[in-house]
Amino acid sequence: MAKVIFKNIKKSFDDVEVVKHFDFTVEDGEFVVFLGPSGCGKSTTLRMLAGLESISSGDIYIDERLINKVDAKDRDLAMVFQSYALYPHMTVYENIAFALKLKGMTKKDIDVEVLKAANILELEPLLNRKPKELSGGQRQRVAMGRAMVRTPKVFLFDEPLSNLDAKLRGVMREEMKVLHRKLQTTTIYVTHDQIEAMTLADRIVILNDGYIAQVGTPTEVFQRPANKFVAQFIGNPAMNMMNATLIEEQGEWYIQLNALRIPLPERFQKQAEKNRPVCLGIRPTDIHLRAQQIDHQRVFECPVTIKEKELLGASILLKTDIGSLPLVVETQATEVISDMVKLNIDLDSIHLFDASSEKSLAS
Amino acid sequence: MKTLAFLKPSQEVTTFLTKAAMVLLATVLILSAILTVFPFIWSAILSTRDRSEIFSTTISFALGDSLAINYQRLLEIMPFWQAMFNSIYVAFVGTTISLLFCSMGGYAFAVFKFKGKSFLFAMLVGSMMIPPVLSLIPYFLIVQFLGLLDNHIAVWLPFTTTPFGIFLIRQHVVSSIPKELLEAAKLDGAGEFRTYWSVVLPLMKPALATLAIVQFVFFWNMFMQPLVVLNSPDQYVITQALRSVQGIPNTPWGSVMLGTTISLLPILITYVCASKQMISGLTSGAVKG
Ligand SMILES: Nc1ncnc2c1ncn2[C@@H]1O[C@H](COP(=O)(O)OP(=O)(O)O)[C@@H](O)[C@H]1O
Ligand SMILES: [Mg+2]
Repeated sequence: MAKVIFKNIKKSFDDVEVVKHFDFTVEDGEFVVFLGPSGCGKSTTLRMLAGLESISSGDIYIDERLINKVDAKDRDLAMVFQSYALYPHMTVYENIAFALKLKGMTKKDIDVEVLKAANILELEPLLNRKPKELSGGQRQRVAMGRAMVRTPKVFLFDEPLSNLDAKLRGVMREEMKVLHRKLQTTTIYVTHDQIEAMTLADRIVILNDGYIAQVGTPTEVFQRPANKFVAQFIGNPAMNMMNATLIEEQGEWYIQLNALRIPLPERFQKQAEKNRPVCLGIRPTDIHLRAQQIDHQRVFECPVTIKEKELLGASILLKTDIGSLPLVVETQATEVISDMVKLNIDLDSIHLFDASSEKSLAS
Repeated sequence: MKTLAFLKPSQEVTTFLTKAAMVLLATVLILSAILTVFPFIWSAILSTRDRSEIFSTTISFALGDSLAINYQRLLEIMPFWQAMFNSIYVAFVGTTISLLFCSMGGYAFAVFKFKGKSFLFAMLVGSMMIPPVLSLIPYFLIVQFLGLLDNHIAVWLPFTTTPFGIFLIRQHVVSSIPKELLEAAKLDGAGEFRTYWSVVLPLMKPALATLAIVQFVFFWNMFMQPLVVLNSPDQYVITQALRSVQGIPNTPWGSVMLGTTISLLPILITYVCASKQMISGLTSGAVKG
């Protein structure tokens, strides 16, 4: 168990700066997820912590101890790789026991620890098999077991579930959650899958192009995205983004969407400037066909014609236009009767971003 | 395309051509196999004959009945078993140490980052082009300088670190040992040597087996180098010993053939043992599929 501090970390490969500024503290016992699109530097950051990649500049502390120059083998971290990296010539038992053997534990103690891990991960019947005789899910569990027996200071996971099929991924997510609750070990988990991040994380660090875009709990990053990137990255289907301008008329502020005018909610008015170009973000799920679904009066109503429908099962995606800009609405499939509908936009959950800095205007 | 359909050979023609090609291929292979094996069989047959039978003008594949006499004569004209032992010792120690040194060198070239690596590697590969005969005199001078003349160490030690072996191992490590395995070992707390010994070495088995065969055959067939540095007959390796009797009057060819035939056996055994290890796919199951 440990606290991990990243202080102004940078990383370049030759001339290419991959991690540009990473300042972050992982609290003791916390489950932190690094989330971001492919190639944004998540793995590189994790590997710097693990000691597999040198640090170009900045400091990393584990429990107040500067570890920049500490050898990977002495950092006492356990990592689960995307490819699992099981030792192919060793049995499952030997794979799990390897680190313990290196620690100089006695055979008896090793046996106890390995069996304990195998029990938790249901690997007992497989202990004498070689990795090539295992299925993907089983290999994944062996990789977890190998990390678990170590009781390391920090668990590191680099996209550990991405080689599994969707169903197994769900099961393993559940197991990881249970495991963390049981062991309470500080965990850093890298993924590009927002569902994994949402379900597992205490806090999510969203990375974009080598920078931290936002840090927050899953609820925070979903409900109060700090910038346009986070708003569009989190949530499925993606948030509607429309270019608009702020205008004032007779002391009232509006968001002008071409011909359409939406009253500007209170929380944006501090930052309101005349003719300020902005991006209006509305989640497809924050637009309702029935006004009763919103339990307050801050609603904007707008009649539209549906141009296209896409049935997802219980819900349905409606494609339409608002202020001559394309808009996607997600709603209950049973609610859609005709192609002429009235949209009720929940003004409490719309988002506004500055058009140039892309930062949120909410205060 | 349709108009060209008549150019496409019919099913029967294809089948026939395939069969004909197979027969041709098989004939060529069988012929070359016979050509390769024949000298060994012939020497085995000759080792059972006496001198007059060997030099008779008619060709016959019948076994003679002089095996016992040839064997006795063989022991008289040379310290045969001593030479066999010397050869086995040189080849065994040499091969073992080669495997160790070459695997370490190849692994280092494959995995470590250090200044001048590509230059060193280019030198290494380049040195494979130098004909071995050219280095014979420097070799002798160095051995003499080290005071190792007439000593078996001079025969095996200089040839344990071969460019070919290092190259072979490097290629194997680069192509079939995933980097993540080494990283996983590191995080498990293994130092450099431990990683090499417990993780890399077992996974190198196929390459090591190949190298073992190559090196064993090299040490066993070695002739020039021992000829240059070994002087006393009881230090002779088998190639030298067999060659040494060709000067004596009335060379007992039957005995020489018997010695030659016996001296082939260790190579044969090594090959059979090592080739079993040359299976590939040892790393399957390490990463992903
Ligand atoms: N060893 C390396 N040498 C050069 N470039 C690298 C190396 N490792 C990663 N990169 C580059 O750094 C960027 C970030 O990589 P990575 O951290 O693996 O991204 P991800 O967020 O998908 O895990 C990528 O553009 C990748 O091409
Ligand atoms: Mg990655």
